[in-house]
Amino acid sequence: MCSGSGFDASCAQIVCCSAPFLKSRVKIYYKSVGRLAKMMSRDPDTFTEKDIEQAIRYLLPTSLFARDAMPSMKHPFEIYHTHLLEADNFTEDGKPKAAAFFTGSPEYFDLIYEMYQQQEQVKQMEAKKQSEDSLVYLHHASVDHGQLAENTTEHTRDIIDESEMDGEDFGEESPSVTTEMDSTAALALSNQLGPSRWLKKDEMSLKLAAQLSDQQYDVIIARLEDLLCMAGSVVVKDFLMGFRKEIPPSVQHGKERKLDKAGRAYSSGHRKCAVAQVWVTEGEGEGAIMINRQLLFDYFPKLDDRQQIMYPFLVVDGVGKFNVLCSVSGGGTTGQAGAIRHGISKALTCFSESYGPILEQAGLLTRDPRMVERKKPGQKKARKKFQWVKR
Amino acid sequence: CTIDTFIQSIKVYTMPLPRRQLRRVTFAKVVDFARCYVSAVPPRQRRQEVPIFQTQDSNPLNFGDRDLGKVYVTPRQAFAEVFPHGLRTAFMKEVQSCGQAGILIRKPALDIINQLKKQNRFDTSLKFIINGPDGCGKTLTLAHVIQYCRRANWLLVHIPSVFQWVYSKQEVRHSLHDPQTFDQPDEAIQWLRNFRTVNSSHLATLKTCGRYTWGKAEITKAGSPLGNIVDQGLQKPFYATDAIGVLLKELAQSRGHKILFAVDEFNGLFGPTSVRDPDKQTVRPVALPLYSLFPLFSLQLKLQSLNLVTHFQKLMNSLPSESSALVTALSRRGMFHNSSAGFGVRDLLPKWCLDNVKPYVSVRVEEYTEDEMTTVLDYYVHTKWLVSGYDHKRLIEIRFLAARKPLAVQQICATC
Repeated sequence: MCSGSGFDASCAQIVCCSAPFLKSRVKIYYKSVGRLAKMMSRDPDTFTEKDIEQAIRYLLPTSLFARDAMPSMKHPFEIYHTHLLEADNFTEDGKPKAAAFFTGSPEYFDLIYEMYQQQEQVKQMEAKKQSEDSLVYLHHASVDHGQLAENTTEHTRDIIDESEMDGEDFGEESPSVTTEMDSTAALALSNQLGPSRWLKKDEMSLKLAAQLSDQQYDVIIARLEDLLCMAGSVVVKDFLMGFRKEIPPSVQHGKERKLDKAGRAYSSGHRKCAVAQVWVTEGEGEGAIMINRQLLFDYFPKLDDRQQIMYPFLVVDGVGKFNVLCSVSGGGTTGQAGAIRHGISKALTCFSESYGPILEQAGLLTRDPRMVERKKPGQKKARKKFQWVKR
Repeated sequence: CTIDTFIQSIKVYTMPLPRRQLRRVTFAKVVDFARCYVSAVPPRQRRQEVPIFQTQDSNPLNFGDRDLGKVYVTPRQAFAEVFPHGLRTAFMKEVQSCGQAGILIRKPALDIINQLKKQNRFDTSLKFIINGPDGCGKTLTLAHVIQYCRRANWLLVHIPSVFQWVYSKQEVRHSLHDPQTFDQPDEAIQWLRNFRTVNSSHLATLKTCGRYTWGKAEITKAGSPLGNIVDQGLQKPFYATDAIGVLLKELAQSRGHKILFAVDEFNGLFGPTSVRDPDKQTVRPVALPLYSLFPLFSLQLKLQSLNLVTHFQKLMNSLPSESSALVTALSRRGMFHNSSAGFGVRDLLPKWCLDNVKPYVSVRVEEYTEDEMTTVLDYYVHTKWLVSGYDHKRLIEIRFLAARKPLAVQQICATC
């Protein structure tokens, strides 16, 4: 904090570096601090920032709760960031060019306003489309809900031969025809935007060429999300893309996997204490699975374990198309099933380039890091405590 | 009797009425009256739309090779008449929820039935041992054969589950007939009751050969109907097991009547039991050939045996040849003290048993074929057992998870 004696010297330094605008501001500030100190019958030399704050609270009491709205007196350096003070930002008269200069963060508020303008554009588009659609809607008598009833009709041999029908995976329902425009539009838009994510805080700051606080960043993201969720947001796709960063197709972490001479893919899989060695080959007809020289059904009597092993093939749409030979040891039944699943997933990445991203998205390539938690002294087990006794 | 013939009979036999009364009694009223009276009679069989996978008629007598791979359906009531004890839990749940028992017609069952049809020409009695991997349909193959024999009016001696006797937790009593052996009154009574339900028509016609004394006073004379022995056992629980022994002895001596001896979980008759006697010792079933070969040893070995088991073991030795058949199904599931990885006849039955039962025919029941799989899934979709339907992808998934085993397929479809 500049003391009264060092005032002139530091002021001289500042005047050299920064805009003439700031010079007057700093002068005013120090004068005000002196006056305030005198009002409070205190020595201006020992008057700290905290004392300033207390003095203002005393002199200008307020029932407002928002800090931003309360009266305060801050050093101009704290209000005006250094990048704002470049000579280019000011006219010849010494007046700032940016309209929102005195907010302290003009880039942020300009962006907010721009988003508002984009929103207005989208709303106009929606209104226009609605008036067109209302004519079209009258022609359609009823919405076709045939897709919803698809799976409950009686089957005969003929229907089964159609390969157009999609199978269901473990009870997940195929997206049915709904009347919610938001979700489908957002879905469509996110498809157009491609696999991407919002810019992070530092990236956003770089883009705006301004320093953003955490709150400011959260506000921006929230408003961008709202814009994305609007029905007609296709219109502002370019604007939105400016704030999104593409996620590149995942690079495989770990070894690059290849098939060996016999056309087999080898990998190991781990889960808890179980370790599995897995060899996968492309099979003809029905795929065969052998585990420790036993058939899958004999080694895993539980349905859940078999489902776990089927899951990678399901994701890759290759159930029954691969032969698997594996040896597994350690752990228990579920751990071994998980280890085999991990091994199969890693091995499957060899067979096609497209399998890797799909398996990673499904979370199958990640080695599940959960292990048995250690027992702690003073407790019965890892988490269970001894019986609580009142006395 | 159809409604038409009934109405015609009314027309013939009603008296001529005076004119003024005739006006009140119109033909429609007569028809209505007839319908109320005849409601117990089933209406004329219309040609119903039967799905592809189902047989046209559900009479097991009429099935042939053209019905292979189809499902035949028995309504729940009719099924309970033939199997008052029920079959496997999983299958009975399906019968309960679908209201009917659908059994797939498969080659092993048809082979057995064809052999039974030809039996008149052979001297030796036919013995079949149905074996195969777990959960593949051995019990249901046996059930199919039993239903055929029921329709063909055979006498049915059916043990639905040997393990229920041999691993039971029920009370065990010293036999009144031979104090060194043990009776199981609860199981015996239940079996006799079921036997009576299933074979009520035969019990009146078959007569006893020998004369039997029950305790001190009661006597069953020679030539009395077999039903008397069954009733004797039902009324006096302490004699129930002895009644079974007598019944089987009589049946073994009978000639001319067609008898089917059907035993499920046949291997239970020859292994260790988990029954405890009142002194907390484990009771063992006795090995019969040793008994017959070494009468001296038998006095010691005869200690601690279950009579229910020994009665049926003796029966195996002395089946009436021309008119009976023994059809048994093995079961590895539910067998105690079993460390064999295999499920064939030699794995589950001891050698001395096989020597006794020779010559037998081993009938193997395996997993579903591709066609059988699709038929069964069609049937499950039809009865809403498989609620969410299936297509080609799903078929592959079910095939992967179930390894085409019938029981596993049923369980997976139930959860879909």
